[in-house]
Amino acid sequence: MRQVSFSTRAGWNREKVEAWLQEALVPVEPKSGFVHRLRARLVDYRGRGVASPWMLLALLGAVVLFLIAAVNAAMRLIVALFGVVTAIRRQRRNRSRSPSA
Amino acid sequence: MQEEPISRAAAALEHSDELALVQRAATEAEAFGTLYERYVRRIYNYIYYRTGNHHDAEDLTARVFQRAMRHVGSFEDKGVPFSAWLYRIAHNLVANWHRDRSRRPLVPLDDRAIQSGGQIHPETQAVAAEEEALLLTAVRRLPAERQQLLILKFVERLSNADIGRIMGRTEGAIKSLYHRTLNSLRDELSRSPSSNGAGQIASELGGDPFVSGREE
Repeated sequence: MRQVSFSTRAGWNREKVEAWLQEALVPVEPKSGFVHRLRARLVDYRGRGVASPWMLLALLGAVVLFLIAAVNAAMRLIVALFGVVTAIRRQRRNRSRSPSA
Repeated sequence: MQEEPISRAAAALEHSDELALVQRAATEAEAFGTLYERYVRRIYNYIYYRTGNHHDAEDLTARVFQRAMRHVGSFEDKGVPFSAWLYRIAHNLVANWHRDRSRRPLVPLDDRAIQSGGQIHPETQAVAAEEEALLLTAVRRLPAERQQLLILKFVERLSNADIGRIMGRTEGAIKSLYHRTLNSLRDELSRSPSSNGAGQIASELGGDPFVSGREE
């Protein structure tokens, strides 16, 4: 129960105001769910999840592997194209040398 | 006589420990987590008493720590505690919140004023809630830095010296500001009518005991 009542307000003085403030301004506790969720968002997820050096290393490794695979595929494609062109040329050359031509 | 140098040395040691933690927090998530655990309740309380409702207090507290996390690397030691830096961020966000809110006024429901007291008579409860609304309305009419002073003094129970370090003022200046704050509160309370003062002030301010305070 409030010790200093509003009905005794006549003749306010500093002590009375202070006593009233002491009763009205009390610490409030945030919900524990909120505190834990925010910590997880800040520290566990953003902290370790993105900015961790291991995560960056893994990301870099993945990018390098992807580039190697892409270059490999491109080289194979070029070699295959050369093979097709060479085969066509050889076929034409053989046709031009044949007696029926 | 020797207590003062000892407490100063302890404060200096504490400050250097905290500074080391803040420097680590720029790169280590766990160090930031330690700072978070240390200050989340204080920042939440500050914002709660400046906004008057838990929903906005949660939202703004989250924003304070997100901003702190992004910029903790740029924190510079100017002899003030890390908490002063956090309070500064909170102050700026609350000021923006008041500005936005004044454009589209809302009437939040303060859950502290309607807490049920079990065996307390409903009428007594209503009077107590009204009294509290009156006082909090008067507090929230004060300039922002006076509100901060009262929150640090009564909610956080900090000494004038600690409040001075956070607010960047001397202990003497804090004492003087506190004196003037109490005087203006006393005048404000004496001016309001005794019978339905809370109701009148609340209705003047749109029914919200937590109406926005002046920003300095």
